[in-house]
Amino acid sequence: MFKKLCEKAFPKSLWVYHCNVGDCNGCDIEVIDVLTPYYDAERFGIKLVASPRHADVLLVCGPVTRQVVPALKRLYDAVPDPKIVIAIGSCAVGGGIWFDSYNIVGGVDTILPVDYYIPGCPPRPEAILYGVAMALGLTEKQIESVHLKQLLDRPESVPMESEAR
Amino acid sequence: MTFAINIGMALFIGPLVAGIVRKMVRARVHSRQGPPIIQPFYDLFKLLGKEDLESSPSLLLRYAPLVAFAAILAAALLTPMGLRPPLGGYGDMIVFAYLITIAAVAVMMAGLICASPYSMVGASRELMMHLVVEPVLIICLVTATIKSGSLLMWDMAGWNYVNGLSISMVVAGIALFLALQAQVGKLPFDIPEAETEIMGGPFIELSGPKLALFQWAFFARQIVYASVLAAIFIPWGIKFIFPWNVAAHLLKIIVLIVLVGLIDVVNPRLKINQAMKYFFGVIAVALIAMVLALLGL
Repeated sequence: MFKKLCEKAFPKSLWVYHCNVGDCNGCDIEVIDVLTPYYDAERFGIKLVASPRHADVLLVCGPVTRQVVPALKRLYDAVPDPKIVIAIGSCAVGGGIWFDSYNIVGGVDTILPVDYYIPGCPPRPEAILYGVAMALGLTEKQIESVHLKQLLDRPESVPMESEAR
Repeated sequence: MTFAINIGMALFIGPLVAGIVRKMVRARVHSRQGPPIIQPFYDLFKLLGKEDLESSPSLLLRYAPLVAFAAILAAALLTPMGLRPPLGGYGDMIVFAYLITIAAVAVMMAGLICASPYSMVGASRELMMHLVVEPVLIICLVTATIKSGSLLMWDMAGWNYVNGLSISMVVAGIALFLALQAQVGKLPFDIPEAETEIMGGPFIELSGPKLALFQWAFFARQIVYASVLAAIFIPWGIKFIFPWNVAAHLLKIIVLIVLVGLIDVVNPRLKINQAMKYFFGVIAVALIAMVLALLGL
């Protein structure tokens, strides 16, 4: 029963640790914005902590640079279970504009198992709060996943040149 | 019965009052909504359910949180909380002072055993603060001892109630109130923890249940210190009939802790030397109270 109580308390008290793995500081500023009284993340029990040992959620910003890979792995190990990893910003989601840069490994999910992705460059504070609220189960996902297809050059009704010939 | 009241006050009223301060005082001052009142319980239970990382192989680290928690609960059993304290006949204010010091030493040990520079700094600051803050409590209790002729806290409270206000007791009460802010580790004096500066100080390497036990001990410590001040130096209501004396005590400690929370929100952190200077002043006030008591005032 006690264990159940602990599991129930988990989503109501998420302590986040914010780490920058090669970010331009844009996402960092938006993350700090979420914690200001205007957005008031504390009403969901979200609190910024200074030590990964206290954290439940890792907010990872930025494309993973080669130098930061061992530190990021150690950081993940320093967070006690259960833990959630949230990738914030286009760079953390998939490398962003640096995806083919020589010193970038890629998005955060090349190194850590990422639970939630919040894209945007930088994502608005509302988007970050929405993402975290979705992680907490407070709101439903509002868009469906889109499967992107290679679009044809012209509508199919118009016969292509090769067929017309 | 009294056991249940004292332990319940320390274990459950402590986090609850902390939640009230967070929601009603801190969030109101920031003009925001704030977390729910029972947020501290969510935090504690979440931490208790988390993995316990061994950041040092030492046994000292494993038992330090338990020692702190047990010492604070034992101190709670010696403190009058509306009724005669359940262990009041077995321990006087000297035992109380030792128990409180054991809790502080456990925090220091936990800080020193972890190999993080922040926790070392936090532990040394904890020691420094304890050395200047604790004498105020001792001197104030000695003042009450001189007046009442007893080392038992319940007798001091009873004497103060029967004999009415005296100058020395009022001065000692003021000195103890000035030190309360640091005793419960609130903002102008949260120098050992200093979240934004040394990132939680001695607790930086602690995870899960260990951190939860320390936090719970600190919530209980708030209640214990506020109870000493409320019961001995503000003796209103201790001779009411049964449920009302506990209710009066509860009211007094809630007012005290909300006041402390309000000071916490509107103040920046002092530097160590500024805090030391302040506490030498408070110790001087407490000594004046003792001298007045010796003069029979």
